[in-house]
Amino acid sequence: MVFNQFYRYIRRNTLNVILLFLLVTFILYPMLTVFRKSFMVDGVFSVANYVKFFLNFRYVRILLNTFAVAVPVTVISTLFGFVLAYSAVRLKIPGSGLFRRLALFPLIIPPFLAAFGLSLFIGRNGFLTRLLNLSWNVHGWLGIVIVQSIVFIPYVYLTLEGSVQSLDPTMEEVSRDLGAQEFYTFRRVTMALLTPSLLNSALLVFILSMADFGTPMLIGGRFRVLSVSIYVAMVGALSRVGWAAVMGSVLLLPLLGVLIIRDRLIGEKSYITVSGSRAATSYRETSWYIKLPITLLLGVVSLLILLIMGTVVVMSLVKVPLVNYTFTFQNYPELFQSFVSVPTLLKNSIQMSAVAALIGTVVGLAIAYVSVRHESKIGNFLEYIALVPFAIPGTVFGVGYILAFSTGWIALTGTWYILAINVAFHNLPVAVMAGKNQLQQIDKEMEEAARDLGASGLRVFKDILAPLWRPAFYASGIYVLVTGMRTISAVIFLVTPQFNILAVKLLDLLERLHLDLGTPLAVVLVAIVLLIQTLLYQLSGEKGLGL
Amino acid sequence: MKVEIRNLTKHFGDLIAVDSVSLTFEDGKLTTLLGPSGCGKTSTLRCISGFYEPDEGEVYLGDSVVNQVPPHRRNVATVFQNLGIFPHMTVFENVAYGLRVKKRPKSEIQDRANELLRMVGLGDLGERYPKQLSGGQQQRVALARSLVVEPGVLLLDEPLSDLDAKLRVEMRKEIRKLQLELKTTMIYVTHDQEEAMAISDYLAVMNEGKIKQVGNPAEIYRRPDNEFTARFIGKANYVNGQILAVEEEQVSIDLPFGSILAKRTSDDIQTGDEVGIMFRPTEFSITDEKEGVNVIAGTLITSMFLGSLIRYEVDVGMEDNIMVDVPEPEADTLLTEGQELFLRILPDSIYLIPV
Repeated sequence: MVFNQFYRYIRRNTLNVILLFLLVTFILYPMLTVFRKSFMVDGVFSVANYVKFFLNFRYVRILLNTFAVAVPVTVISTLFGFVLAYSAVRLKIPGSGLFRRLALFPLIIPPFLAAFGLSLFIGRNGFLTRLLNLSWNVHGWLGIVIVQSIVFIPYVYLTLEGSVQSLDPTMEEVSRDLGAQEFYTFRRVTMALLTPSLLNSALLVFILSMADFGTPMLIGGRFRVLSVSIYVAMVGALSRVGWAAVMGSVLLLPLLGVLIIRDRLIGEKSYITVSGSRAATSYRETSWYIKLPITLLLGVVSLLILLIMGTVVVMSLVKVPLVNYTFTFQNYPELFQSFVSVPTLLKNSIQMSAVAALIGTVVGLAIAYVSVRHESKIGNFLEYIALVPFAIPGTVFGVGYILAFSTGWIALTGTWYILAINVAFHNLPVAVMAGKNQLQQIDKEMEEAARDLGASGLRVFKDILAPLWRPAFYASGIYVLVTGMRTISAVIFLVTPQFNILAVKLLDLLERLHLDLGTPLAVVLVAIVLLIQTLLYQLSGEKGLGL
Repeated sequence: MKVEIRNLTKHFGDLIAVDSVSLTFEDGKLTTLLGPSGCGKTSTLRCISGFYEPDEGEVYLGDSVVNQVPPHRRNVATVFQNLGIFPHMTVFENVAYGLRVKKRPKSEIQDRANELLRMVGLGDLGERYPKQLSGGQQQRVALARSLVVEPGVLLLDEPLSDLDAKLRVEMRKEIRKLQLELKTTMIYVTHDQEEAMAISDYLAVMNEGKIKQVGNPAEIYRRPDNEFTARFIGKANYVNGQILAVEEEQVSIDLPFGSILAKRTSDDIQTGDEVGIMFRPTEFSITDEKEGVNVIAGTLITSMFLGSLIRYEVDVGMEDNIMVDVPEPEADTLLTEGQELFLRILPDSIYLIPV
């Protein structure tokens, strides 16, 4: 009897049940495994690990370091991203198109590459440092803050662009009209209305900074943050998975806290939108004394990105990077003849990312559909879980996968598709949000009209939903694919000697200072990602981010 | 096709959207559900189209109960408020959609869709995309798309609400013309009483989930049988009073501003009954007599020149001011605000409503 009811429920809610199974298996289960592992000492439940962590100043110091980076980065990145978004949408600033392009560039490069570029440029043995014979040191806290502040700008930009666009300029005009000064208007009208979005993007940056591990790895020097310690514990000479799990939990808990605060505080769930459609902009007249500092700020940021990337390109074209600056093209052919098997790595990267994009997008859109159209408790619950990976640092997600899928009922470690699944589920929030945003713009009445005219549920999906939903499908697919091509943090634990990918290999080369191979490989990787993204946007007919 | 609902009830949580409503929609006629927003008219409509399942009661399409039949198996088509036009299909593809779904032969689809497009005056625009059309044209596409499947009943859910005033008048004429031509049973939902009166064979006035009155437009306008209808339909002055005396032809009624005489309209009026009094703004005259039968003294609050008439708002010592319309005003007869004036109501034009 009970079984019959259960069976009927499952049949009527097949989609929900499948989605729930996937989310529990690939998001909740690995995370719970991390927590469980952190409480296990010699096979018994114990809080000894946590006592050890919090009583040892060395570890507390690492935790404090992590916050010491995240807080200033959050402030600077949010400020820059906001200035960029506001000026791109509202102010007529000369060259703002170029600024926008350059500022969004970090979205398509491996996250650690900017750090590497900066150290090539002004690092201890950097190009400029040597040239001017200086003895400054950017390795450490300063370097991490500079690089992260720059590379997280695009995320702020993408969160804010839509909000600024939907801000009716009439309101600002009304304020001016009623006699308010420019600055007063900005403070009481513009900023007041944008506060939720600003808070939202600030929390996003905070999470990204806490989670980032490539940047502190390459430019942090002796300044340790949690994500790097987790990595070292996992791959160091003597692997201490349990200890990595403890640090992972310590890192994860505040981030989950941030996520919950965010939902409570802001309510709206507008993470970055990748729908790619840019609404019309409405410019307004502004005085030169406002435009000038903004232009300078944008100029400096753009120049820095240009110099960082330019240094990498230049170094790939000299005989011995940082030592012998004779121009040569030789590094590229040598790269392809070296032990770095570029074609295989490239094939692996694309194969893994493409499958990840497919899984992530299909699952993400299905969850978006259930959440928007069914308006049921289970729909909201599914969406809630699907957005959790947003707060899970890649390293912790990777540790979770290692712990959860090495043995037991789903043993997938060592296979290439565990990488794809990992990338897919880590980027699920983006797919869900892209799907939701698009779906909310598709009037439900269209589906009802089709049903009303005699179309069955499946027919409605095929005729109405699928074609209208296509932009979201492409946008999130391309986003996940590009992310898959450039990501390292989670997959670095999951690659095997048999199946390595381009970005991980690149980090490996740069870390071991194989500059003659690393710099050309970086250029090749960025070029390929750029090419793939452009090609896909062309093929899909979508507008893209305009990079 | 005749449509009937019996004791239809629909809840949303604690809110009762439709409260045990019974109504018959005559075959081949246009019946309008008229009421303010939130009165339950759209919920009633969606129970008929099948997008809502009634909590209680039955929906009959023809002779069969269809409560359990999903929307796509009902012989019903809807023109939605936001139209729900498919933006990725051409006008022709939109109109042909229902026939394609039903797998009709190609030639029939071609002929029928083109015929409907011609009927709604879009014969040449079949290859266009909806976004290239004006609001009124999109409206026509939605109409043609629903009519092409020859539905037993066509439901229209505030279809004109997004159009500007002039286009609204034009389109409602168009809809009425099509309805008379095709003799399709139509159920029309609107909150616009002028639109409802212009278009309908029958009106059902709804409020708070209940039907207040059903009848043809003239009946509803002239003889509202409850306070809500009286206040909702047309411009009306409504006052509560008490019967003072009943005579052969007339009754005298005590109102807040004095007693007046009215025509006796029904037999079961007793002295002492509480009644509602409705009189239209046009049924006054301004008089020089300071006293007399049905003469009321008041103070002019505002006057509004509306072209063919002038509308006065007069304070007669009640909570609500009385509205008085004077047709064909001449400039020199304009009264000034604050002025004292006297109004006469004709006994025949007072309409008694049981409370």
